[in-house]
Amino acid sequence: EDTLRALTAFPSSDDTSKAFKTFVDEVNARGKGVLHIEIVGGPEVVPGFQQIDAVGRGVVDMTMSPISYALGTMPEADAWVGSNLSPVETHENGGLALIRKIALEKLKVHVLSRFAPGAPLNLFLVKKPKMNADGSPDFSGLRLRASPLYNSFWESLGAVPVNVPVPDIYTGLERHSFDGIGYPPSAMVGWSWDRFLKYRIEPGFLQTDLGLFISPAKWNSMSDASRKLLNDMTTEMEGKSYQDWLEKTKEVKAKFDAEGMQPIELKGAAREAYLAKAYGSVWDRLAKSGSPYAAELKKLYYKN
Amino acid sequence: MPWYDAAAFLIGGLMVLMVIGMPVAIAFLIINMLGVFVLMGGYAGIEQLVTNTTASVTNFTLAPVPLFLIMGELLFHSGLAFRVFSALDKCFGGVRGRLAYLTVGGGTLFATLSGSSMANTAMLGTSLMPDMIKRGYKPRLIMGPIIATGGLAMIIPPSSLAVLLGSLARIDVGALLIAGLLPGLVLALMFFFTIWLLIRLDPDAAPGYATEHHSLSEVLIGLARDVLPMGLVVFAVIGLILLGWATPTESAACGTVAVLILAAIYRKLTPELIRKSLMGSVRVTGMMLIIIMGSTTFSQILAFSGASQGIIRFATGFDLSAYAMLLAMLVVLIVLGMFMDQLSIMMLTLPIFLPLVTLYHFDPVWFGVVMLLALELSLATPPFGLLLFVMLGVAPKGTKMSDVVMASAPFIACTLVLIVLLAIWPDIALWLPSRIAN
Amino acid sequence: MKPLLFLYDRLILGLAQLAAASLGLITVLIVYDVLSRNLALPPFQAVSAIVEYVLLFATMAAAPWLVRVQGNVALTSFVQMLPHGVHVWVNRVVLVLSVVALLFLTWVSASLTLHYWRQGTIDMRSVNMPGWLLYAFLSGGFLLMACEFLRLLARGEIYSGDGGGH
Ligand code: NA
Ligand code: NA
Repeated sequence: EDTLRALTAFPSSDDTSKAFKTFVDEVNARGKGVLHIEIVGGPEVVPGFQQIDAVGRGVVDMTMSPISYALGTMPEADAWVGSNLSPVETHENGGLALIRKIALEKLKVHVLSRFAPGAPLNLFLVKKPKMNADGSPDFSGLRLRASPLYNSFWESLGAVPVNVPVPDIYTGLERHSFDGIGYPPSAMVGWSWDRFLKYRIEPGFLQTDLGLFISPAKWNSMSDASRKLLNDMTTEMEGKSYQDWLEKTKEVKAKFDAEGMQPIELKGAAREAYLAKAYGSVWDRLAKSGSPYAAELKKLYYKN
Repeated sequence: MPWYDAAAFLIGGLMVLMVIGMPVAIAFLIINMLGVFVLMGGYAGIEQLVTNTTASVTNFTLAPVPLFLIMGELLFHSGLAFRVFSALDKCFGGVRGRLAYLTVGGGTLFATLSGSSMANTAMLGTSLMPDMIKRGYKPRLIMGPIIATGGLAMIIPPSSLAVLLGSLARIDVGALLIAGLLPGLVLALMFFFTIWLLIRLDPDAAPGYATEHHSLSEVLIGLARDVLPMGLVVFAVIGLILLGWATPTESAACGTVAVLILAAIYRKLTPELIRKSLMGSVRVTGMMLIIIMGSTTFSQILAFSGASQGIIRFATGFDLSAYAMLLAMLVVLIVLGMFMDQLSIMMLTLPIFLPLVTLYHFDPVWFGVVMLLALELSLATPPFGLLLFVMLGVAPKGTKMSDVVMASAPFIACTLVLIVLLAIWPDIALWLPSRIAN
Repeated sequence: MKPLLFLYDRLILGLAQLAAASLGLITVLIVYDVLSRNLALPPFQAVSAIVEYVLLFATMAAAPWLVRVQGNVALTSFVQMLPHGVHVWVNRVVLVLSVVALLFLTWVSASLTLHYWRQGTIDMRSVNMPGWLLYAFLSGGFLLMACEFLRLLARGEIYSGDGGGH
């Protein structure tokens, strides 16, 4: 029997960690006698940002982590962030294979699959934004919580990125120290931020970028049966968890709306421009990194 | 390695190194290296250890530590703290141990200004301790209240730990923050009572009645001149948070600048003052952060080895009555708190505690407050309590760990009593949030 | 030899002063960040990255000086109860262990510095930082700390850790 020791980049209370636990339970049930995965823990064991590193070193066998945590070493990770296709499509068109090749070279990890991906981020605001003459919101001058992932998007909207550590977000929103945040709705459960965030810009933008990563030494040492089982089950899970998370995102948004949050729907040209800026900022960053794969990745992961 | 062997190896090894007089920070680094070498697999494990170490300190939420330390040093070296003390000394001239009471009062005020217990303890220690020793207070009567009120910072809002606990446990963050206020104030009252009791038991611990008599106008002038302007500092910290100008983490810097402005007004602002204050701050900051570097990774290794989970499962694995289970959970928090950092403890224990909270029908907000109190306690319990190290770092030459522990013991007892009170009257925590909700 | 030792002493104190100055710098930067956000002054995105880096820099730059001024806390109640000869001997063991451990950590962090340098890794914070820099801080700090413990050993002095605050 092959055994894998796995980590999650988020605490066990997080919904993605719970979904991973469910997945692992299924693997262990189907893989009885062949393969067993043991979840060692979350960021209390290895800090989230360091987990892909830990798998690369072979200190643990596996992790569920956002690939963007390794963006500093592998600029190509942006392909997952800037994708607007489903993981099934990018698996079948060879996108996953290309990311696998790059990650093996740069991160020294084998990419199994994406995990609960797709759920786009939304921009949430405390106050109703000023409206332009054409009915589109005016974001200029708004103070939005910064993130290295989409600071350039904020700037392209004319907004000012503001650095706020996560524990300070609640008080910051309560006292209106800044005007809004970008976050995947499904990941906002538990923080109670929605109490102060009264407006949500639709459509969502970018993709959450969780993946399953495994140490290549471990992967190669496993039995064919174990590898086949993991390949089959992750391929199945990729598609299903994508649908699940779109569904979950919809549910969370509906709950927010029921509690009085107002969606502001961008339409027509305003919508096009907003999305072009969001995705453009990511693909520009990848192009600027000088990666030889930039153009190919964009073709595989992004559809105009 | 079974969890009890791993626990014995890691915790036992750490204790041996500390007992033979190894600097605490180095003791952590050494046991961490041995731990990862054995448990994570050789050299790669040690590389991972160093990588994780960088993550533990480069954390914006630790910024209040040096910032509040600079503030404390400025208050001390500029003589502003001395002025405030003298004015209040005149005001409460008839009360024995008056400055010890004032420490609790001032410390409680500061707890409402800041969310970081470590920063608060360090700030109070640097600014208050030297003056009080000069005035004839026994260190016991100074260190105890400072450690105790330093811990209040994470119970009374704002508190980053309460926010993190709320999100991890899916407890309403707002309710949990408000729920901490009343228990925090009750705790402060208990601290007052403890000081009164300590002075009754040992009247020599605090200087006696003032011999001089001060006229009312003298007292009022002193208050207006030396105490009232401190309102600027309070405003710079909490006012800017309430106005939404600064986040709780940033407000520490604003408070520091406010002290600089006051020092300038009192004509005490010199390059020498700034130099001394920065050197004083870096001394304690360096001492604390290198311990945090070691202890955070120690927590992670303890979790990786399965020792922490083993302890939790063992203690909560029995079929117990509600109060006995609560006690078991508290013991787990206090035992883990001896060796681990608070965020790690929450991430480890909550997955096991929360189902128990549901099973035993505990109110989640109430449980959150009890858990915060237990975590606060863990900062001040030997052998490894960060507040004890902070105090040891700012205390005068020759202060021993045992002195610090003995000084804080009566105040730790207060927290335990408060937990019992909360078990009897949950409304101490739940009344305020229930008033404000809906 | 003498001028070299003099320079070394200046280095240890100079680094501590630099660490102190860096704490002053982050105070000013954070206040500017607050002001710029609320008064619509030009924002300075690097602030939070600089603050985070300074926390580690100040720790490591002050660490060797802290050894020199006995500023790292240690629990000495037990060893002080031992007969003087035994106490001195135990302290030698402590010093040797510290030197060995710190030199080893110096080696590991230096090799990681080199690794991330070669790999060109970027540390993405509020602005991009070079991925090797934090490891360089660690490696330099650990090395000088080892030197300071070695200095105590060579001079036959004891590390008591009772430098005190004021
Ligand atoms: Na507080
Ligand atoms: Na403790």
